[in-house]
Amino acid sequence: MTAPAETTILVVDDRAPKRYLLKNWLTRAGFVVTEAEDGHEALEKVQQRPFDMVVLDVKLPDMSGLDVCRQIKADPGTASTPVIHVSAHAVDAADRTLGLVGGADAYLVEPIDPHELVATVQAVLRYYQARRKAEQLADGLARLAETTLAVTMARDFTELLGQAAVGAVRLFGAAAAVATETLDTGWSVALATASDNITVTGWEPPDDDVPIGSRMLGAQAAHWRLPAGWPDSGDITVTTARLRADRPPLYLFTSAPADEDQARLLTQLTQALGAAAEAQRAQDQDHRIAVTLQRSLLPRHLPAVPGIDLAVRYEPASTQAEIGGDFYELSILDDQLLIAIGDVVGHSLHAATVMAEIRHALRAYAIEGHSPGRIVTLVDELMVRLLPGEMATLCLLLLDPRTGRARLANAGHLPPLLIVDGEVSEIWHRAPLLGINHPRSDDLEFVIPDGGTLLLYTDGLIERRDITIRDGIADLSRVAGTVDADLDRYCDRLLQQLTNPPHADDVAVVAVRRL
Amino acid sequence: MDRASNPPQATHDLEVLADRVRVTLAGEFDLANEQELTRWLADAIQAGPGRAVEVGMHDVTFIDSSGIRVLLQAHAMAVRHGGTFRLTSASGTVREVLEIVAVYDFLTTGA
Repeated sequence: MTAPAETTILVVDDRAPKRYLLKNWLTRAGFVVTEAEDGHEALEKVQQRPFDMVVLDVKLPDMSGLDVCRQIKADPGTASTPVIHVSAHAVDAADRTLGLVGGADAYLVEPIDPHELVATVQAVLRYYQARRKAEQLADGLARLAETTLAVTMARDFTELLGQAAVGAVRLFGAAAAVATETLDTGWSVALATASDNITVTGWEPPDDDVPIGSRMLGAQAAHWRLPAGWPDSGDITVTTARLRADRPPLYLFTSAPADEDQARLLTQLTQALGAAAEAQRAQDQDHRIAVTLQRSLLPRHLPAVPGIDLAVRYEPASTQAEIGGDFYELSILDDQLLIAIGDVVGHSLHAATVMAEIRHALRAYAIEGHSPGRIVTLVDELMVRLLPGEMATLCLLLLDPRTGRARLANAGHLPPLLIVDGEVSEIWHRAPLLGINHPRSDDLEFVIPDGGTLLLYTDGLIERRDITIRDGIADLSRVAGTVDADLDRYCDRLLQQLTNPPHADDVAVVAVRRL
Repeated sequence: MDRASNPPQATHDLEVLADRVRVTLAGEFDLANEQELTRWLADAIQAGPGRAVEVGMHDVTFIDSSGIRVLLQAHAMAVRHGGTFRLTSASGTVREVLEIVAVYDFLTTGA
C-alpha cells in the first residue's frame, strides 16, 4: 500500500540511438527506464511487471505503435498504464488525433525537446497518480461500508470483533487486531492476519486514559500485550474510539497508515467499530436485565422433599432481549407438592410480568387448600377480570410424595410425560387455556409409582415448524424414555438432544422422580 | 429457524356476502404478524356488523399461541357486535394445536 519508491518507464523504440537519448533524458529527471525494441517485446514486458508509464514510438518494425497502445489499454491489467506516443515523422493533426483516440495520453513529435518530454511525462503521471489515489480512496470507502455493515449485523461480540479485525485487514492489507470490553467475557481481542485467519482471546488492557472521541498514536507492539500471533514486534498504530466517559474504549491495532487518506479511513473505521461495539453492549445489557428479571420471577430454590428428586431447566429465547412468559412452580404445601408449568402468550417483558402475576395467584390459591381444577378456575377468573386480553397455558398438579397419588388440571398446556421402567405415557387432560373463562373438565387422578418420573415442559422443547406437535411429542418420548440416574443430567440431555441454541423460543423443563 | 429474522408469509382474502363475511387466511401466523391478523379480522367483523364471520383456515400452515389469542379475541369481538365467528376447514398442525389448547370446538361451532 506504500507509494512506489521509484517511477518506472518503459521506452519502446527500434532505433538504439533514439532509445539512448530518451533513456538519458528520463533517467536524469529521476525516472527508472527499461527498454524494448519492438511491439512484441513491449507487450511482453508490460505483462511481466507493472510500469508507471510507456513512451512508445508510433512506427515500430513488427507492428504499429497505435496497435501496441490499443492492446495495452484493452487489457484490464494494464489499462491504467499511461502511454505517450513519440513520432519521428512529420505528422499532421489527423495522425495525432488517431493516436489519442487509440488511447494514448499524449503525443509528442520529433524533434523532441528534452524539457517538454519530461514535463509531459510529469503532467501525465500527475493525472494518473491523482486518479489512482481517488480509486484507492473509493475502494477504501466501499470496504469501510462493508465492514460497518458486517459489524452492525454481528450477533455477538466474538463475531463483531472478528469482523472488525478482518475488515481492517481488507482495508489496509496487513495484520490488524481489535479489542474492547464485552459484557460476558470481559476484555477480548480479535487478531486477524488474513481475512480467513482470526483468533479471539482474552486481553489485558494497559493502564491507559483513553480520551472521549478518537485518537491515533504510534506505539510499540510489545507495550500493548497483543496476542501471540501478531506478526512483528515493531512499530504499530493504535487508534481508539470512546463514546462516553463511563464506557470502555475500543482499540484498533494496525501498521502505520501510508498516507493522509489511509489515516482518515483508519479513524473512520475505528469510530464505526466503537459505535457498533456500544450498540452490541447495550443489547447485551438489555438481554441480561431481562433474563435476570425473569429468573427473579421464578422459584429461587427447589424445595427439598423426602423421597422426591427434582430438577428444572429454564432457557430464555436468545434472540436479542426477548424474554418469554414460560414459568414453573415447585413448592411444598403441608404434605403436598405443588407442581406447575405454564406459558404466557407472547415474548416480551410484558409477558414476563403477566407470568409473575399468574404464578403468585396460583400459589395464593393453592395455599388456601383448593383442588388443582379449582385453582386453575380461580386463576382463569382472575385473568379475565384483571388481565383482560392475556392468555396462558398452565398444567398444575398436587402430588402426595409418599403415595405417588397425583391430581392434575391442565389448561391448554402440552401433556406431561410419565416414564415408568422405560415406558413413556402422555398424560392428556384437555381443558381450555386460561384467559377465556370456558367450562373445564374434572381433575385427572393418576399415580406416579416408585421410581416413576414425571416430565413437564413448554413448547420450546418440541415445537418446530417442519413437524407436527404429535411428532414433536413422539421425538421427546423417544429421548425421554431413558431417565438418567442424575436428574439434572437428564434435563441437560433433553435440551441438548432436542433444541439447538440459539433458542428461538423459551424452554422450561421440570422433572419430578419418586425414589 | 430464527423466527425473528424470517417474518412469516401470510395473506388474507375478504368477501362480504349478503348474509355473512368470509375471510380466507393462508400462510403462517405468529407473534410477528399478530397485529396484521388482528387488523384483518377486525376489518372483517366491521365489514358486516352482526353478520356471521367465517374464517377459512384450509391454507394456514402454522399458527402459534399468539395467533390463537387473536382468533379468540376476534371471536369475542364478533359476539359483542351481535354476530358470530367460526373457523372452517382447519386441519393438520393447526387443528392439532387448537385441540391442545382445547378451543377447537369453541372456535368451529360458531357460537
